[in-house]
Amino acid sequence: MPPAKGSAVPDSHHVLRYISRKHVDPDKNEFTGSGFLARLGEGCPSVNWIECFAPPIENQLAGIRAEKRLKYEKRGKLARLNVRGTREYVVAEGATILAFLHDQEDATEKYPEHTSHCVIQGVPELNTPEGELIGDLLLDCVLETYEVVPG
Amino acid sequence: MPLHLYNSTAAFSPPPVLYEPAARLGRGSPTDDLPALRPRRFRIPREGGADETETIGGGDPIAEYAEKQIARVAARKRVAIETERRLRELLIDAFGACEPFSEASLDDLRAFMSEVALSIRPSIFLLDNGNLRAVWRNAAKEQVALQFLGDKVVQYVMFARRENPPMMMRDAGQDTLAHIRDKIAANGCNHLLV
Repeated sequence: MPPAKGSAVPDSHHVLRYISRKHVDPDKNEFTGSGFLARLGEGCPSVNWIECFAPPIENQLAGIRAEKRLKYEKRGKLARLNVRGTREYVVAEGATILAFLHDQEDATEKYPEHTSHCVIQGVPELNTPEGELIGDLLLDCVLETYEVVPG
Repeated sequence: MPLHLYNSTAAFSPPPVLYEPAARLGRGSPTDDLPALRPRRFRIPREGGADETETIGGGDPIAEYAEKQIARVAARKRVAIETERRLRELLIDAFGACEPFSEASLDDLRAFMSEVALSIRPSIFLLDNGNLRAVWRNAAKEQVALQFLGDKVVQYVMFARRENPPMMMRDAGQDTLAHIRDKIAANGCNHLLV
């Protein structure tokens, strides 16, 4: 049975954040913490719950790609975060308390059900120094990055 | 009247020794009496960057200083070219996707970059609001990140390691373009702007 909407993602689980191409410097193979902040039209930064799909990671990424509602740009990146590690890191810095919450989206005419959709609550407003600081702390927590298009 | 009583123009000329060219006094060259010059060594910057250089001759402190200056100038030039290339790429992308791109932010970024002598270009990103953000970050997760807000205002996020006790200093805020260098120095982040 899928977790209830608004319930917390288990601490040991992971989420995937899509970083758009503008936030990726391809020559340096680096991206900016601003990519973790809410995009235009997002109330909170959106992420995908990786454990929604069965391992291995290739299968999990394929599941997320299949139900995504954003158009992945070729030069974008996917960044993996651990829920507990990220939450504790940000709290330890005295920055803010983050919550990773399930936020499934129902199927529409255009899209299938978005079962892995989650949000990060507690990230300060975009374009503030505090927001950018949290974005850069989240960048510190990235465990792994993946290409948007499977290699 | 005896000829020797007439004034001769030669009598008013300075003694030959004072103005005769050295070569006409029997010297091979004006520098014959000076110690021999030591060979100089120069590094010639190559297309690939400051590391790919060629050494000519021996070396001395002046030559080494000159080498460093030449390499520094070459590196600055390369950083400027790479930075402009990246900015052009972001500008083209933004226009292509009908996304905002702030000219005021671009002007401030260029003004800042022209004041710092860099050997490596920072990572540069275009934010959703159209502003540019330049980031210098190292493996120790120290960083200087500057979002150029336009109108000579900069939003910064700086991380720097401290000793005794070991910790990471974190600072975020806004300052003027004119004072941001002082802020970077005060936070002990100058080493990141290499």
